Amino acid sequence: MKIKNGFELRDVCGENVIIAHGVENIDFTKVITLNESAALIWKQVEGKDFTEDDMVKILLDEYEVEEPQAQVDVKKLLESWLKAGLVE
Amino acid sequence: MQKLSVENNIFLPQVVQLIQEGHKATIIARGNSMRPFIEDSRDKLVFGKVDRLMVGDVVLAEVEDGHFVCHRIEAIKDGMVTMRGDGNVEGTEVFPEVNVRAKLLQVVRKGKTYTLTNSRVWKCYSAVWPKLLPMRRYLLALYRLLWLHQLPRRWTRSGAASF
Repeated sequence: MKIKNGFELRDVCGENVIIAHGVENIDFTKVITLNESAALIWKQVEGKDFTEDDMVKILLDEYEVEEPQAQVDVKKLLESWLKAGLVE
Repeated sequence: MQKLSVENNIFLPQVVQLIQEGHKATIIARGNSMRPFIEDSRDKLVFGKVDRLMVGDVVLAEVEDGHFVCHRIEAIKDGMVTMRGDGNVEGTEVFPEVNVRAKLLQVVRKGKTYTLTNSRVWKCYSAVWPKLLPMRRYLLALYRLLWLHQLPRRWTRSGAASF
């Protein structure tokens, strides 16, 4: 899977905000923000094809976390990205 | 869903930058200075790139460094713009035309979208409301009383009461 074309992660006033280019109207009244670890994963997978395992690996590399926990966290994160229509 | 609050002097330059890049941006209206049409925290404002400026347009301008105001243009002369908020009686902002950063294109008022170039309601309101300036103080007081259910402060002991 990959991050859909046109979505970009931007620092807006200290928050990691997903901005949709190509969308004419950027709605700041409802924004999607990523926390630090989600933003880290995003930055490492954007522009390329990735799998759920790739995401888990990024967490394991960066944080002191057990693999089962990382898998649970990634599953949740990926679900929210899919639900928000960020990933295809 | 969580609420995210950011200072205007940090947030709005970022919004303006996206607008300069060609996007439109929607933000929540804050403040009472564009009453009675636009209400604080209830309505949304859609801004876009500035093209031609005309008296009557509602624009977002950086009146001073980092200080952004969105009001209606009352006059343009010799490169200077005078703005007055629809909800303000006295008090105007005067600044160079180049300080205008974005133009108001749409208002989402109580959930309904008004595109300012097309909307008959907006055009009528914009044609009439500025002309009522001599009565504005009383019209706004009436608006607060009848629509917002706010008693005038002088009438209440505590100074801030609703009914």
